[in-house]
Amino acid sequence: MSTRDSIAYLNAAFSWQSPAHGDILERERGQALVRVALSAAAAACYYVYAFLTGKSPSAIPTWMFCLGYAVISGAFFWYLLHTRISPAWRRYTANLADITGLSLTMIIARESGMPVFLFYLWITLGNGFRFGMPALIVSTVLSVIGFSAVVALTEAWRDIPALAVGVFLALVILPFQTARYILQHQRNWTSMPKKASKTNHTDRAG
Amino acid sequence: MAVRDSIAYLSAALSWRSPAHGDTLERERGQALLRVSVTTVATLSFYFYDTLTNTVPQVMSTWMLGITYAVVATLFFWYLLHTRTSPAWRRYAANLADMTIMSLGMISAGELGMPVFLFYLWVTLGNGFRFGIPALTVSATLSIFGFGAVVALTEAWRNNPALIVGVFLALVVLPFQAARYILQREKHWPTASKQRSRSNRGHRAN
Repeated sequence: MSTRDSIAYLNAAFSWQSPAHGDILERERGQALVRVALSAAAAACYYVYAFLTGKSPSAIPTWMFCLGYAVISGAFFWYLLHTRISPAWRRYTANLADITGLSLTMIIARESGMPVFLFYLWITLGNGFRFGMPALIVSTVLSVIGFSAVVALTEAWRDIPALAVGVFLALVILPFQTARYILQHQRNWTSMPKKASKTNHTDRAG
Repeated sequence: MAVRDSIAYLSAALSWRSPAHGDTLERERGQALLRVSVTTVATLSFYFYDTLTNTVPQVMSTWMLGITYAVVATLFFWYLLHTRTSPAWRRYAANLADMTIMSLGMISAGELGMPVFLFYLWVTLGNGFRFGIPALTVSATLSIFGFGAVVALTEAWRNNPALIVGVFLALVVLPFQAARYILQREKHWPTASKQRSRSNRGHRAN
């Protein structure tokens, strides 16, 4: 099927930073590189937006904040290339930094920061796919707290309560749905040797 | 971990309708039952909102549309309990029906229907997790068309262009992220199976 082939081709091209590829350190590196790319892209978008509209919604321009985060992310990625271990505390700290950075971006950018809500889901699902259930749960909790802060401090979100409810629901339901899928896969995975040995026993008996 | 255990317990209790459990027909039944529940809950929410705010519908209330779909979804679930096959065309037709009704609901509900955008993602990721990459691709495409129609016909959305961008990006990026994970799992599954059988054979040889 051509669509499937196209996705498989894209997947192969980016497999080195895939969420389920390699060991945990490789996945952390992949995530770090995605972080650099996205924060740099966000900085570029906000710079173009500020240039075209001539507006800055707050004292610190959003693009400058994103650029700062991109630089820190770049340094972190460089560090990861030179380390050999991937401790859990570092992954959780990076997750906390991502959610905090994202929430601050949304607060600083005000209305122009509204589309960025999708990154809460991207970060959370990405953490779940890469590092499993505990990472998914921690990221979900952080996202809900982060988005609550955004709603509390941003008038643009408070003006559309229906949509804020939708985003809150999405931040809870979609990770839960993903968690069930990941759990089921883990269960199938752990039950596989039993099934395989049962099959082997049957073969031998036959 | 307590949270992990709670999710595992909930997942086990609902495993018969889990996205990665059983054969394709079981998954389709699980999806059909979820459709009945979610439609009923959404219908009740819209009904109570209309009753509490004394809203008089111009043509048809969203809850009327919802109750009609809940009845159809229940009949479909009943039918699935008595059938033994799960043809792809029926799953795609159900997906199309979901997206169409959801879009109509969002159009008829106006601003109140804004939170429903999350269902586009829920339906799409659910289809991907249950039925694989082709189902995910079809559902993602349908959701983009559906949301395009909602934006074109709903003033509440057109007044918030920043949000439109965010939702469109979410409808593209999150299914793509899930597709990469599903593909990676599919690719690793046979390899891991072979490795484990080999290791079992090794144990037998010893």
